[in-house]
Amino acid sequence: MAACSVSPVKPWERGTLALDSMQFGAFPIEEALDEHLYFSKEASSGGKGFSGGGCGCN
Amino acid sequence: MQLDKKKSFSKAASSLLGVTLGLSGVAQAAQWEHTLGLSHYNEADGRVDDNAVRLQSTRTTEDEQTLSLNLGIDSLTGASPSGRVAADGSGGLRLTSIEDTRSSGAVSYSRRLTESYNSSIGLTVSDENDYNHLGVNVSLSKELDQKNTVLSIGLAQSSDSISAVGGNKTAGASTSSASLIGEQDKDVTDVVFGLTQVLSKNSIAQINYSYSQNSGYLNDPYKVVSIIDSDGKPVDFVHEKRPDDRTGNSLYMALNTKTNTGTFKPSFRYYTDDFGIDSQTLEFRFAKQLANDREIEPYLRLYHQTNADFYRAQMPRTEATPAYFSSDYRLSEFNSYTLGFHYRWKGGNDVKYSIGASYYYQDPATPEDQLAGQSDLNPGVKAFLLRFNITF
Repeated sequence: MAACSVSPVKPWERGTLALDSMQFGAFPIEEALDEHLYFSKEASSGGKGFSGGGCGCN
Repeated sequence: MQLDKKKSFSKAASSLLGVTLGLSGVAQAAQWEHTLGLSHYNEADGRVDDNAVRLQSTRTTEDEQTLSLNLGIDSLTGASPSGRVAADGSGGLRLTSIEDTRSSGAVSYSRRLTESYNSSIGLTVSDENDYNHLGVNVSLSKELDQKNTVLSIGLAQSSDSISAVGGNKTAGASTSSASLIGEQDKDVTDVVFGLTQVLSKNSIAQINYSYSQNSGYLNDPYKVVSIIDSDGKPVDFVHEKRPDDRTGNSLYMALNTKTNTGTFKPSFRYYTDDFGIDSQTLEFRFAKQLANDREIEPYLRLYHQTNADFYRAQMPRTEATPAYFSSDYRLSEFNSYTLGFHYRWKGGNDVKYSIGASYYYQDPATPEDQLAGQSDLNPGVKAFLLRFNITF
């Protein structure tokens, strides 16, 4: 994927990338609640980070 | 019985990325940030109800050290399918009532090691009346190409214990004669490899490969499987019996790209394990910035999973008992659909607010021969979630 970037984005060009909506994991409580729901109701886990645990529900 | 989400490794990588991508190119000053989250989850037909409070406090210093504390309490009530069929063979879902309070906590610390290396360590704990969890995690990331590329690796190890209310029973044994087997243990090892890549001034992508290994007591101690006769009437109930190890792999890809219309955020995950579960998750998010620092983000999630090899809605008495079996609907084949939104806005003193709602629908596809005409043995799940967060 590094080869896809023709030229590196400079620090002063990263204003858009710094927005919350552009960052992965910018809303940890929201994401944790989503993963909580899906882990409790489905057989799959993980992907975005550690696959979870601390639960007897799956 | 609820999940305590460990600190996401992608959050560590992205938070590090965020610190180095300030508008002025200079790391932000040290400060505390607190987020309080309230949520209400409700399933239809008298099933699970979960009310939760979560608190996260994060302190970031000028030299890019971050300390994060998380606390959570879940109050769980309602009922859950037990696996028992009606005595007269008339079908219908038999529920077991549940009441539990789960407390959880997590601490994580991350810091920059060198100009291009960052690291984090974390501790997670949870406690409920029948399940305890203790876990540690570490991660390391390297920035390349003027910080446009971040490679990361994370490792987590958990040691959990299960003590069912009424005691754990021998897996596979009849409920009428099963022996108590004492507290049981489960160990989980997770490894995550991640790549985050800036594609342009307006686009960033992420790929994660995850490996997980579960070993020990993997059963749900409350679930049974019904042994039925030719009329569908139960002749016995046996405690479910799952393998004592489970290996899973997943590949996750996500893209955030901002256009004049808004920010498109598609993602896809493929998961497979040796329980026989194969799943695909496709998610679409669209964040639309509105006037006065407000934002609305609708999302749609589509999910499909195959059933576990040992999934049995019920077992005819005429067939030989398989080595492993479970009637847990979460191991059955189904599609699920989630439709939701977040609405975010800012108030005075830089306080951020968000509200959200979602609807979850699980549509099972259990084979007809397993249901033996009792299609309501796995009716699916319908649930809604409401939430409110405040960050200050």
